[in-house]
Amino acid sequence: MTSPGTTTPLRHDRQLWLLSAIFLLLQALLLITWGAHYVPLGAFTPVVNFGIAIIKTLLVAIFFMQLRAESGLVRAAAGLGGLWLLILFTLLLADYLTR
Amino acid sequence: MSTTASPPLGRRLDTRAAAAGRNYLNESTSLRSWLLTTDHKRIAWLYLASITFFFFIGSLAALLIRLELITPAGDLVDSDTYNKLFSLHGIIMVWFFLVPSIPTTLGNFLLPLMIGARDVAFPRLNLLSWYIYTLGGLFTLTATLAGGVDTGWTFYTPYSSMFSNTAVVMAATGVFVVGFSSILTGLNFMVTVHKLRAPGLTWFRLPIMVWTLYATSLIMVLATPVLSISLLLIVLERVFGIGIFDPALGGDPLLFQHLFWFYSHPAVYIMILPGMGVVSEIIPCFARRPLFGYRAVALASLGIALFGFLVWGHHMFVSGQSLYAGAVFSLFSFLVAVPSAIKVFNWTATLYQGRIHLTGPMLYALSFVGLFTLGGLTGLFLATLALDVHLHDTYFVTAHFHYIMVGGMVTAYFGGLQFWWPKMTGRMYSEIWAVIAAITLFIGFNLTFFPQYLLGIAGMPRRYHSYPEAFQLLHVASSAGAVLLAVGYLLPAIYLPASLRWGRRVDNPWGALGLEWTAADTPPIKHNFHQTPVVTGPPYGYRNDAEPA
Amino acid sequence: MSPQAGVTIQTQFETAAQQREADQLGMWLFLATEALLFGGIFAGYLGYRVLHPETFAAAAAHMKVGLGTLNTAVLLTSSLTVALAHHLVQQGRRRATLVLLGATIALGCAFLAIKALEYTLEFREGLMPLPGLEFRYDGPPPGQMFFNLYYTMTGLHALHLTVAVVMMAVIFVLVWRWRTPDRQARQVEMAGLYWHFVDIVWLFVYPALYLV
Ligand code: HEM
Ligand SMILES: [Cu+2]
Repeated sequence: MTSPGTTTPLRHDRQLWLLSAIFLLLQALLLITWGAHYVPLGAFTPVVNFGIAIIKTLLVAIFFMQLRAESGLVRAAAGLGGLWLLILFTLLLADYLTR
Repeated sequence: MSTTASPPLGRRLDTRAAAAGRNYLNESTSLRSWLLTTDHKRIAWLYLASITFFFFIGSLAALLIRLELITPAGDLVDSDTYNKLFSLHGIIMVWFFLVPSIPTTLGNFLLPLMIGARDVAFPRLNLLSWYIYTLGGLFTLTATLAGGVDTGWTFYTPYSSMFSNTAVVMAATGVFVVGFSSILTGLNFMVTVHKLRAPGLTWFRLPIMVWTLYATSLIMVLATPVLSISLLLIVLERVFGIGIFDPALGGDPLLFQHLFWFYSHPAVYIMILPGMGVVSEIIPCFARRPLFGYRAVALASLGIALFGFLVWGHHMFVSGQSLYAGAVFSLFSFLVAVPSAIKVFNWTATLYQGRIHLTGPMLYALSFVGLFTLGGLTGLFLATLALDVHLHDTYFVTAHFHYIMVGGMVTAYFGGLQFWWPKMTGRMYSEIWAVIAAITLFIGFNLTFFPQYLLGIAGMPRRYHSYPEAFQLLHVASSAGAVLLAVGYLLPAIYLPASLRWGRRVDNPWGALGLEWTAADTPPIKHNFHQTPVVTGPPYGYRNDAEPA
Repeated sequence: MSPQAGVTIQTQFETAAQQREADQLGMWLFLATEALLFGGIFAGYLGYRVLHPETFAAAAAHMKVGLGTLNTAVLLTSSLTVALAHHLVQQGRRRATLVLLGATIALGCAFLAIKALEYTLEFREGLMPLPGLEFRYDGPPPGQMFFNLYYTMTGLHALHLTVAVVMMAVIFVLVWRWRTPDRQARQVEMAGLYWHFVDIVWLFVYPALYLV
């Protein structure tokens, strides 16, 4: 098996199985968000919606984008964008929430 | 830097080059070999040429501004033209000169040499960055020819999006495009520093120049995209009428300022960090002492890059953001001054008991330290919320940032260019003229911009083409200084090119240490080293008794 | 340039592993910049939603939630096909890779088609605040801001997806030719990372606009 990756991926069949399982999990999460749209959750709506979006993102990044097989350096680069978005949103809200 | 050559380690390249007297400059000479080069050292020259061109245009606009301001009446140009002049000046100087200045010229040339690499990680991307820069420049020049733009370099909405009837779209496109050049350069440098360091070159053995270029790149990569999107939104609003900042639709013009300064405050550190790097190389060399507090200086560079992202709201104290946000941003702004202060202390401490050689580059470096300190301290005045209510949008702000960006960064750029000129060309320029130019620059600069502090405190607002008579004396002084300053900048433009023909051939005229001096030929060969150097010790191993040659 | 382990190592690198790691790092950094590009407009969305929560909810009621959800499912499926393609191309399985890449491209086009359908419906309902078009939304002004954000965010996303589809088509041809399988594996991987990223952006656009 020729893999350019730094760590050996799981064995062939297990990898296929894993990807499919993650896919099903993603679709299930989609159904949950969609369903939650029709349940009056009040202020929790955005929390649930974006919480699920973040979970989905992590699943895609870790399994589909193979972050789990990457070095710490690459993982840090992947986290960098998220961290900086957090800075942007937090300080922006420091203004908008206190106007 | 202590190094030993390592025959077994590393791939060997072209050992015959030096024997044949070949180097990166004479190895091929056709125009094509320059325009399609992927050699980081040649790309540095491409940038040097384009950046010099834009510096010239930006300076021309500045000269017209200073001419207009000699008299209180708005007599030389009308107010519309004046607005276009300072906008052109700001846009060109910030995005087409200062942001790329040191990183793309000295940075491109030195980064691989300093870390013992054969090139940057993505050489073709590096060339592409230059073409993107050029494309952005063409847009901006087109905007100028199409009548110019009058929004200031800050493009504030709703004026830029709804009211200005100048070439805003064209100018914004130019800045948008050049942003990608800066993103790609930053990305390239980051990967290079992470992946291409020579064996033994651990992070804490890197020269400070590399640390600061790394910190700069981090900012370029993480901040510039936000500028891109905010410019894109302006274009969208002007072209398609999709008004994101339109107050009539419930939009908030302040949102633009938030996004703009999320980029532009960190960007002011893009415009100073590389200067700090240059000075950290020059001072130890001419004080013949190791840099004092190396680790603190290294980490302060990253600290600046990080904290620089937390303070952007200090540009919006009086613009209508919430008072709470204002207080938070004021507090953080004080914190961001700490790492800068650490650096100033360490440069000064490096001089202590040093054997100081007042060469041209050293004079530039010392000017940098003084002028940057004054600029930084006045930044603290402005960061004080209550004081800023009085000083905001006055000449005090103009003086503050010119002290840092021109007194600091441009001075460091000229100093660095001359420090490494022998390395880049193999020729020595006229040191006497360099000393004269550095002194002229220092006097001219202070004469130009110190009066502007006083004008600001007295209440002269920025961006006006006429003013009350009481301000005339200070304005005339400032304009006179500008002429002297221009002389200071023009001198190197004469004696540096002249050295290419008449300069004496040199190898390492300063007795400088660092891989670029000790492990590479002067000028370097195509892939920098005959064999990959191996590093065995910390940088700046200068000794007091060693004279520069 | 010297061949090693089937891939060409460029002059500036010592080993294939170092080169691969550099590519990977570069790609992820690029994705971080893209994230911040979208982050700017999301930040605007966030601020405006905080300023006008009710108006936003009212305007969002005009969104076609069903189509939005369907599109999310389509994109998630395309992410699976890309991930599988990457896995199989590493095994040197050209035919299977081609099938999966083809499916990916088809799913991407399907997404764009559904999005176009949505735009058409909104155009018919007079919900497009473009100059020259009649805007028939009768809520208060920040409602139009919602639509402005909607078109900006989905438009920017669709633009990225279009780029991704074109890129996949190029990769498809390269895999079809199969000149240097090891390189093709890297190309599928890189294009795949971009594809997943575009997918992730939608994972946030969807709750932000459809599920207010
Ligand atoms: C020591 C840390 C610094 C502090 C605390 C600081 C503080 C400030 C403050 C509060 C303002 C806003 C003044 C106003 O508009 O009323 C300002 C403006 C400015 N500063 Fe600084 N600053 C610092 C360093 C720098 C550096 C390093 C640079 C550039 C290399 C810089 C460039 C600028 C520019 C360009 C403006 C004016 C922007 C405009 O409105 O056009 N500052 N600074
Ligand atoms: Cu600032």
